[in-house]
Amino acid sequence: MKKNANVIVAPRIKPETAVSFIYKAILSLKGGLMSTLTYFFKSIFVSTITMEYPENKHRIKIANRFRAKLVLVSKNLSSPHKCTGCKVCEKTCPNKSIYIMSHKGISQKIELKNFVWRLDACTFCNACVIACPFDALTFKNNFEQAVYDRRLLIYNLNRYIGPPQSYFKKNTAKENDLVLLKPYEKISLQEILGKC
Amino acid sequence: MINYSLDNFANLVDNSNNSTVFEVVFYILSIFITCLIFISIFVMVVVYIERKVAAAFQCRVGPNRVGWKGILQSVADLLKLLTKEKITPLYSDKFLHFISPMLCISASFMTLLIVPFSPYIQIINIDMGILYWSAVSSLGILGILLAGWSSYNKWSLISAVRAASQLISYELSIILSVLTMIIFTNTLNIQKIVLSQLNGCWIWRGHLVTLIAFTIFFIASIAELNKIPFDLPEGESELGAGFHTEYSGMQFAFFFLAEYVNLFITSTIIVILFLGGWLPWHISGFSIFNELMDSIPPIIWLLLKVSIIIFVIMWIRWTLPRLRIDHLILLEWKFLLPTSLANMVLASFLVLNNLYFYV
Amino acid sequence: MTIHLKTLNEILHNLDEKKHWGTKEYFINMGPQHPSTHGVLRFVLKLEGEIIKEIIPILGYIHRGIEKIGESVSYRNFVHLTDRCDYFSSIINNWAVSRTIEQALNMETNDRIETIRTIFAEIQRIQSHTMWWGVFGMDLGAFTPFFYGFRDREFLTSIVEETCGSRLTMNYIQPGGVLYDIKSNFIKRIKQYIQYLRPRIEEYEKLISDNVIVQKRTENIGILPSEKALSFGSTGPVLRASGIPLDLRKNDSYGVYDKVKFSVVIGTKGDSWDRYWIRIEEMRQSLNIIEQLVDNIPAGKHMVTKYTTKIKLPVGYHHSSIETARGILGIFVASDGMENPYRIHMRSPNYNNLWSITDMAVGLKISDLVTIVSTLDLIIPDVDR
Repeated sequence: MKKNANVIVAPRIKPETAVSFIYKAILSLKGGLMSTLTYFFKSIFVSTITMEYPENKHRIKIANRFRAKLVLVSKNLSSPHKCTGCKVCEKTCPNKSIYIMSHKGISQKIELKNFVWRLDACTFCNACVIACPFDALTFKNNFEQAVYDRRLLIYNLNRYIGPPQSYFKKNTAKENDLVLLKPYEKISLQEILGKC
Repeated sequence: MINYSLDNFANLVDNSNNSTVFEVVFYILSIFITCLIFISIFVMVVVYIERKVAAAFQCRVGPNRVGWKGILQSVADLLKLLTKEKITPLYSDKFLHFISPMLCISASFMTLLIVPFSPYIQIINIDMGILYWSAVSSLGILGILLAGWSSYNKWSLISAVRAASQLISYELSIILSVLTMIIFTNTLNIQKIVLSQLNGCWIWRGHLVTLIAFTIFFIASIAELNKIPFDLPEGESELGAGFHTEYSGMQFAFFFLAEYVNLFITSTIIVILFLGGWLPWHISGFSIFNELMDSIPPIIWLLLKVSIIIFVIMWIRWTLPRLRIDHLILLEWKFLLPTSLANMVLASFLVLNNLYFYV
Repeated sequence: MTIHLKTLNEILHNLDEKKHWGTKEYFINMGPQHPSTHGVLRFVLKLEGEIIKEIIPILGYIHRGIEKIGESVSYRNFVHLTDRCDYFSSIINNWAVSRTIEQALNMETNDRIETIRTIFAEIQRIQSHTMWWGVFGMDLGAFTPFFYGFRDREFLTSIVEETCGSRLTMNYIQPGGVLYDIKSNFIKRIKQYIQYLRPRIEEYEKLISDNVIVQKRTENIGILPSEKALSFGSTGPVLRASGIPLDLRKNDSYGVYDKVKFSVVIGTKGDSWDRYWIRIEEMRQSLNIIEQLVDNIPAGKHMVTKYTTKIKLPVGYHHSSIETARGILGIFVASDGMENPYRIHMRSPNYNNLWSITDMAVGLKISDLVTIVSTLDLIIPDVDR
């Protein structure tokens, strides 16, 4: 024990004589009853602490950093994202919740074909977001992800297949190639489930 | 049954003592149906109110989805309990397992017979109403004990044995407090007990003695109703569900109903003995005020006073923790029983010397 | 002194034939599903009437093999698994692993990181203790304190959610720093909360501590003398209640605990009342610590190393421990120089605290058993890992 440390010792309950015991007992019970009565009137006349979901959906404020759904960072769904298919997130994920399928694409480099993210396996540990060298991933805070079928929890995060944003920043002349890109390619469930 | 005075029910049965079989049967059926309707509506309302009051104490909202503000929640619960499968444990004592909820519910039903809702609304006015109530309400103890014994379940057995020791001990305090009040009122007839409070309620007419009797009766009745802080038989944190663990569906509904009807009956007896029953609130001297109070029907007065007592019982239920079994028994045998005995002696002293108000 | 723990088989073998079939003693199973064993804990009780003669805890109903999983994940990824052991104060568990790794690698972190870590550890301690208080009231029979405790925990959870990004399993304290920097209105909200909680603790005292029923049910119940507490290996409030002032925040300081003033709370007798009172007072001490720290958080980076650098501990054994809300959590790593640990073991505080019940509860009633289990403040997933 260091010299300047203070120590607080828990008090013992003092033994009481019979009459003072009854008096103190009744006072203690009354004190407890009064404190709950104040909460009773507060609940009726002021407000309760219940958040009545789903009626309060417009008012509800979830923190920005709350991790509910993984998304690829892009301006909208058919514009380029930043992912290059490097598979660092797949290696970092402790749970094998990410599967990257990449191909050699239009830019003659490795590009992302399908980014499969399993919500039913993910532990939301944030490792993939921080490990990504291109800052291509982020977590969004819409927490209403419940579905009726478990297979619907396997998401394909990218709707755009093509070179990442960094490609268009370097080679502005090739922006006309955007017209030739496929907007979205359907992937069969067998392929995803076979990989997972 | 026919030979008791039926002057409270002049419009149902005629006053002559010659009644046909038809009238007897009609009378019994009307009592039965009234009891059923009353119980089902009343218990549903009280269950809903208990859940809302409990929620208010706990800073939350309570049921508010089924119906407007949740008032149909009890209906939904009742329908659920009606349609549940009746499961009987394999090695249980089948006859006792079958009969114990019925004992509990019939004890509660039978005590409803003497409750005076108003000078004209009472099913039967027996000359020894209070004695009938205390005798019949003890049947419920038997129901609880048999329920715990007949389920093939050690936890239910523990709870039943605790219930037996708790309930029979607290019966004594209840009876002694009732006897204390009978010393004042000088009659066992319930309507006459209420009418004896025309000059003022017994709780302040008999100053110290009736106040002590009120406290003892209140504490002992919370113990009789198995409410927290005396809810060891149904110790939810310790035993899961206590003596009614192995019951499902309508049998559990019977236990549940019996508990709430007992709550109502006990609060009514408190109100009748101490707070004036269906008598309105009068302030001596203000005749306009008295006439205004008189115009409110007496059944409203009774229900108002009963609801205040029920609220206080619920308030205590949701605030205080549970007593341990030996503290419970100690409280009764070492504190409440000697106090109530001494109180009774003091009461007789007071009555003999006319030392209470408004003799 | 040695303590001999009997197993179920031993008791059944030693039963006297005549005595077993008598009507006095019987075995009852306080099963894995029970309202007041906090989690899936199973007790086999040998009762005589209501008095407990023997008590045997049977564990393993929520064993998830966290230590085994640790052998196949990297060091950084092991941190998020520790979240799930003691999930009511998960950030403190993360700190245990981070401290072990940083000590093994001789990694220096800056003052900002340590201050933030200390503040969050104390926040989690308060969260754990308010919830414990609510559950304690519920176990004793009063159902309203549960909601009050949860309400107070919820305010802190939303503050933590803003910064850490999650409400229960935060994965916040990493080896090398913290995951995110604190948000801008964190300091304001924490100060508001400190003003809010101080009168609430007085209310807690009025509702439960001053209550004569609670005092009668916890005084002299479950006495654990100090030698027995030491030989069971219990730590945290359980050990401090027996009078031994062992608090790792003072004895083996980490974070910025040596720069703040706070008191170690001890008891005298080791009964349930002491264990209860100590946690209430610890809440106040945590509030003092946060108040001293929250205004002067030094500037700096929030993460000293890059997240993607591979962590490889030198070959050998490494060990470190942290004072969680329930006791001392120790992390023991046996490393062979690879990316994944060869063996990683968590010395969980709840495991040792649990076994002291085999000695404490003998001769008491079932209601007392519930009180004792509640004051020991067990989290069963931490026992089973």
